[in-house]
Amino acid sequence: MDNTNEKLGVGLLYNASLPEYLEHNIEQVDYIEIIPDMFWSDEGRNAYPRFVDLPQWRHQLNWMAKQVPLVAHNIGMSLGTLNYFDKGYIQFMKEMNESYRFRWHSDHLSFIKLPTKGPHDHNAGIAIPVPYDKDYLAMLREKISFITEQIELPFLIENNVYFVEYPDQDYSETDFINQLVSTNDQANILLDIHNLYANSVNHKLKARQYIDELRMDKVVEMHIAGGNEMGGMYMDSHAGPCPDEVWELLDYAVSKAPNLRGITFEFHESYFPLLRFDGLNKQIEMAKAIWNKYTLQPYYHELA
Amino acid sequence: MNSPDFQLAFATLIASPQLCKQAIADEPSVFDQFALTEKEKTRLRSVLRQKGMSICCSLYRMNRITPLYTQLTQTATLLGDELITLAEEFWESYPDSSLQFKEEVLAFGQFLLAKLEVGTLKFPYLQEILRLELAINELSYTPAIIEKTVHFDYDIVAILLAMDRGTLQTERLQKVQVAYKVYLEEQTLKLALL
Ligand SMILES: [Fe+2]
Repeated sequence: MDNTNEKLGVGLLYNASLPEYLEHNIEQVDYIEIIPDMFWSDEGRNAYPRFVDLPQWRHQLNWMAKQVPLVAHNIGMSLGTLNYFDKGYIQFMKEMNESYRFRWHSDHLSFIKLPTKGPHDHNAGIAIPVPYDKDYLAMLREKISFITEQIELPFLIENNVYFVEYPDQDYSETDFINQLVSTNDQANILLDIHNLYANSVNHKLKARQYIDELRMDKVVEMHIAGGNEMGGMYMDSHAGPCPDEVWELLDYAVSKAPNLRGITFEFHESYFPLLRFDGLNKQIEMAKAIWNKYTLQPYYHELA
Repeated sequence: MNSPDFQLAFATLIASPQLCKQAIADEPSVFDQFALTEKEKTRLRSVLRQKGMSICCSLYRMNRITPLYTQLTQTATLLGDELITLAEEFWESYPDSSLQFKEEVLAFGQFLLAKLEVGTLKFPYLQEILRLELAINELSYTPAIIEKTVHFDYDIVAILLAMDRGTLQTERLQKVQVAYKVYLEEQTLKLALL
């Protein structure tokens, strides 16, 4: 079956608090997004085998794969790191895709790993956004081409949340992302609405203007989440339900994204006690209402 | 042209609020450790003075403490407020953090065990709890290893029970050489006296 343009609907980003919920509510979700790094242990570049199964986790993954379509959301490619590209990791993702037939996969516009002489990379501790400069654009284009040549799936780049701003960059974020995806059909965008909202709170960025500037025809997935305040800034902590502003922005963004295939609700597992089954169902229902509004009546917004 | 050194410098600053302060007070003492262009120096100068820089430093600390809390729960309980002080010392001496929980937990555990060994850290029963939790860490991330034999200088079961009752600090446990087979059954810890 050709899944190239299959629209999935509303999904959840998988975390360790979810097995019981999914067991009883699997019909609520149209797909599950997984962070592949959770299911294997990376023993380091020189180890053989390098990626070792974590059986309990793999068991859960196999169960989910039988129930609903899966999509992969990577955190470990560290595409933004200069003079570094872990092709062994990409190769492993290719094998995993062959087993699980992800509908698409994605990673961030940032760097988290810094190469060391040892078998394990240094972990910068947080995902650090790349500066939006010409040489970064060229480097990322090259890496994304390699990924889409190796793995025949749409590859999505997620917009950053950022707490500091680099002065004097060559491009704005939207310009940078648009250019990044313009030369490769399989390169697409994962628009994180909550990241955009957090940036609008912290940096006075105009969220709707951002959406107007972005190549919305390239947006395949959207992330939604909740957050909270820390040290005078609004954090992308995935702290429970989405704030009203995120729903409003989601509605606006979905109305402009004709090729959208999924909306994923992300929450941190420590907030499960706050949400519980009902709370999760509520978030999914709200996202579905927006999804249905625009996807059941294709392009109605263009006619309106 | 951007340099890898900019990434390294930025990551090093995020890992150390102390170094951020130093870079603001005496810029060359920090910037000169890296090969930075003028543009990159201007960028770092700017981000160091932004409110968000302290958020980045806090996020780094939160993300690095997470594996320790997750895998070394009893160690964390036993150490109480001391955990943060010791973790900070660990981060200073082991800035090469790993993305892998297993490695990070093992490195911190070995750091504490070494301090106990040379006597720069004195903490009753910490050695026992660490030996147990490092064994569990290894078992949970190394499926090829089904069980581990762990030797203790105090009975680990008595320690765990006393911790459960909240009376560990007031109880005087007998020193005794014991070994347990440690294994996991459905993610639950099992101990069998050898
Ligand atoms: Fe996201």
